Amino acid sequence: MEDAEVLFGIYCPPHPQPLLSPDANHGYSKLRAAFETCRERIEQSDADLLIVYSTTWPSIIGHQIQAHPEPEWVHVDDDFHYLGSMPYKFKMDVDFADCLVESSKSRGLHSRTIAYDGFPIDTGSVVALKLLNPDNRIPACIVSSNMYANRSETIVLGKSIRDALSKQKKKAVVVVVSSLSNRMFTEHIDPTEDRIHSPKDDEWNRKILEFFADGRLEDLSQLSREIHGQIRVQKVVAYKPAWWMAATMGQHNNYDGEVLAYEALHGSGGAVVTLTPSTGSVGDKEFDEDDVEYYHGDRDVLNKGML
Amino acid sequence: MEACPTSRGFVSFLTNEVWYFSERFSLDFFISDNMPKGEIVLGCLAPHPPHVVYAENPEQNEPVSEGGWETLRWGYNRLARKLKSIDYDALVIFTPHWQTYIGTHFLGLPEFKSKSVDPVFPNIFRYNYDIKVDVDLAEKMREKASEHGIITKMMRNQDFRVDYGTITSCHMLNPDWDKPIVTISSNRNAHYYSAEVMNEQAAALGRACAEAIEESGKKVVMISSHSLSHRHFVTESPLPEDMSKEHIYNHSQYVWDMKLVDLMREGKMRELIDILPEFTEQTIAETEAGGLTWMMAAMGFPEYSAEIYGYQSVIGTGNLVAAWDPNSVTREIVL
Ligand SMILES: [Fe+2]
Repeated sequence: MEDAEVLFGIYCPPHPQPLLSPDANHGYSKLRAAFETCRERIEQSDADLLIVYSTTWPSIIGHQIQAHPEPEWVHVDDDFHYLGSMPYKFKMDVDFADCLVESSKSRGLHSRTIAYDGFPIDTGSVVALKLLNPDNRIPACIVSSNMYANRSETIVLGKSIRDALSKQKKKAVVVVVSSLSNRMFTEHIDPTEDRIHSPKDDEWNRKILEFFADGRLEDLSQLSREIHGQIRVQKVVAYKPAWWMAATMGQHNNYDGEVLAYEALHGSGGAVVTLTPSTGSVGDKEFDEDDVEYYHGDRDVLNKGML
Repeated sequence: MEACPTSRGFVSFLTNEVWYFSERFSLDFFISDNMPKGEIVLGCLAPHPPHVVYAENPEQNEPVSEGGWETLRWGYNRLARKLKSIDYDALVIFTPHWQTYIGTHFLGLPEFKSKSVDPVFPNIFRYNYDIKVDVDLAEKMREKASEHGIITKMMRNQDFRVDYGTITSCHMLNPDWDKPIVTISSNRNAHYYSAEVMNEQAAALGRACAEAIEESGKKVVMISSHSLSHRHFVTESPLPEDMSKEHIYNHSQYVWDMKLVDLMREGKMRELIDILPEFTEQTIAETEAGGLTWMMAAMGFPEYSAEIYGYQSVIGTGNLVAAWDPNSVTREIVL
């Protein structure tokens, strides 16, 4: 199969402040400006679609793929409802969504399209699409983050996306919506006093950003479990965005990375980063975690052996 | 005023520790003589898999089913009939599907009318709702919680969509929707700290809510909206209500669930809440949100038997409908 064409990737935060209150804090406005830069780059590219993987869209029944041609609603965030509402109307690439269901099924994943009026698109996807593609100039595809999925399943999902891109001969910009460190302050704060929750979170975030700046995406993917243990609140089983991003863009370190902004969002680490495929690999690591092409499902460990 | 004597201990207004010993939800010392004191007239454990609403085929829900999950639904129907026989002013519900990380939030507008589409099971739950909120009671609870050091926020954005946990549990308990509700968000202490911290903070919130109810003079039904064991199957049959496919995810989940049911029957709610962190971890239970702890603390950790209305798995998770009736005259042995 012909190789997939991913023009570049964007890693950006899910919090609504850059959309709803960019002037409340200098850092929020820098993040907003970084989103604007990405928007311009998307406009200047000849991308056919945006593919969004949002950590704030959890699924249980396999992998859900948004396929309503024009989903429309007024979204309000669970925590930051007081910052205002987020009316949206997006344009989805339904053909691509259908193709992705097929390609993911052929790699052993359970997946389905979602096309219901009023379906609650998550805060992260709404923020990203409103800021990166405000006029719906190109269609989008949003995929969920299965709450039980771990490394194998997430990597296979990324590869399924590459399959679908190759099959449809489409050029994509991929967007990962995720914080770096995701521990927020547990009280309400004056936004002018926002900062990263702890020096440890800050140090880890900056280390991750060094890898991004060096284009070391596969190295980050391999560091996912460590990142999860160090700076991720244990809401889900793993830190999956780097797995998904590497599998979707290509599992190597041949990227030009650019960190456009790194700021605190109610204590969490918010960064806007771009990765553009290039030549010349960076890094000195080789890994022993097996690459995986096909997902075989649960191993049914709990129901084996003695009870 | 540093502390007040009660019949069972001392209540401190400066710290929670002494207050914690109170094993009663009647806080009569706060009430002036001429005001009728409010009370909790029933506590309900009301799981919210949207499947049960889907199976009931109410006119508000768009998808149409051929039924399913009768053991749970018939139990719910019976509890709903009991509720019809009880005099109460409002339903107060603690929901895992309004997840907040910055404090505990309360619905703070009198009416919410919209459509709720389940983000996980949109194929079976697209429900048109019109909900009335008891804002006075919500504000009173917020005020009391805040006084006791809990971070709080009123939710006053009219575009806010009420979560499907609230809608499912309230629909099954009161399909006529003829009583106002208060929805309380679940602050995710279990994610940020541990299940033990969740237990402590949810209990503190429960005590504050009980105090607010007493001062409000209202009769309130409390609802803890969640499953017990909570491991889901990640695939779904073509016909979701195909009961030949439904069973618990694995046997250890079932054994743990039954352990909890036994403690409820025996009236050992303090013990149950004490082992809840272990249960929550072992069965990735939805008790992680804090609802059961909140309700039991508000009701003073009942030492009487719970009414058991039904237990059934839904897409692998363990679901129990149960109630705690403080009135020994109307309390029943149901199952
Ligand atoms: Fe739930």
